[in-house]
Order: sequence, then structure tokens, then C-alpha cells
Amino acid sequence: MKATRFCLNLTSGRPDALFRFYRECVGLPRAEGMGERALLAGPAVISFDGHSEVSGGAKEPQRYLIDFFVEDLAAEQARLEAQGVTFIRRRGREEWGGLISTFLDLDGNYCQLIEYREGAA
Amino acid sequence: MEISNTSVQLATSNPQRLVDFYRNVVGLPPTEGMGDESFQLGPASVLFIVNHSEVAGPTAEPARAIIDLHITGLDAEQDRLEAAGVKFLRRKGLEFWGGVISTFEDPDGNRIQLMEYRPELARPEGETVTA
Repeated sequence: MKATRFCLNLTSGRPDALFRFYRECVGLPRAEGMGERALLAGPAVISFDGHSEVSGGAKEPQRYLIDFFVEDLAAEQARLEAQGVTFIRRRGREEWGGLISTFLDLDGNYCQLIEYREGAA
Repeated sequence: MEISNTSVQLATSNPQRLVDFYRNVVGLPPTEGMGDESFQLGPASVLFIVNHSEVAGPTAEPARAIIDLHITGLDAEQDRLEAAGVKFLRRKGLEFWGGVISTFEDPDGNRIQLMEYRPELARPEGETVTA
């Protein structure tokens, strides 16, 4: 199966607030033509909706990790921490050379900033 | 934030079962050079199947995060998956904006949606239509 586009649909009891977190705090641009609550994350789209089965904080945030590959992890982490974003892992080094910091969104979903440099493995 | 790429790590207590499902049943293309447990999501994103010490059994919240795959030829893909035994929760539901959506679950209960945009089916929001 070949998909022409990948979209991660995050559902929430407060989709407007979650959308604003990713738009204004994380700083993702709007995905034009994809609805009012859709943002671009690199080549992917993240959309935000309510759902009758979802309310409150994420009950199992380890199930999904959303990875954002960035050029300057330290700068992005500092910018997010200055806005009060909670990080549960700070610049952890992986054996394959990746540098990873993990933060929580408003619902407690896990997001990861990943910086990869050739030769860092 | 400038993001060069996005991936999703899907944690499970039975990675091989999910790998087999996404590779052999869903038929996602493998991601070259990123291991046997990674698959292409769309043109550039990646799905990683990973083990996690705090994850066991089926998902507690199947609707919390849903993988949407935008495709062409939804009818054929759904037929192929159903012939392989995949059960669909929603079958070719029509959205007002012209999207046709079918929803199924992986072996852990994670939800995946096949979406095909058919602008000729778009209608004003609130108007009742059938596919």
C-alpha cells in the first residue's frame, strides 16, 4: 500500500487547546486546505479532533511517541522550556547517534525532539 | 519549529506480530536502511514498531492517536485487506468535504484510517449524503 500523505489524528477532550499548543507553543505551521485544526510537521500533517471515546489525559502515552527531527535540538528545547513545557528526558544520546529530548503536550502525549548528526554514533 | 521529518514510534509488547501485520497484511513499504521494524508512512515519514517496558496487551485508548493514510483506490485496498481477514470498524464513510474513510485496527487495537479524497462527493456541511 502506497500512501500519498500521512496524517496523525490526535483526538482530545479539548482539541482547540491542543491545537493551539502545537500551533503557538511548538510552533508548527498550518496545513492549508486540511481543515481548521491541521498543522504541518515536516512532510506529515497532525490534525486535532474531539472524539466520544477520549477525555482527560492520555492513559497510555508510551504507546505512541511522536518524533520531530530538528536541526538544533538545544535551541528548540530551550525555547519550549521557556514557555513552561515539561521535558521528561533531556538530550539523551542513543547508540545510533541520535540526541533525544522528550516533552509532554497538554494531554500528556509524548513528543520527541530528535537531532541526528553523521558520525555521532 | 523547522522539522525536517516526522516519525511515529508505535510501542507494543509483541513487536513481531505488529511488524508482520504492517508488512504482510497492510503492505506498507519498508524503510531502507532503518531496520526491519520500520515502514514508510506517506512519501517521507516513518513508522517504527518498538518494544516498550510500560506497554503490554491491547491499547487502552484506541481513538487517542489515529494513523491516517491518504491513498487512491480505497475500494481495492479495503477489499484486499478484508480478504486477508481485517475487520473494518467503519466502511467507506463519506465526509462532507469529500473524504471517504474506512477504519480498521491492527492486532493491538491501534486504529488506522484509509482516506481517499473525492471532491466530486463534497457537499455543504450538515447535508445528508450517502456514498
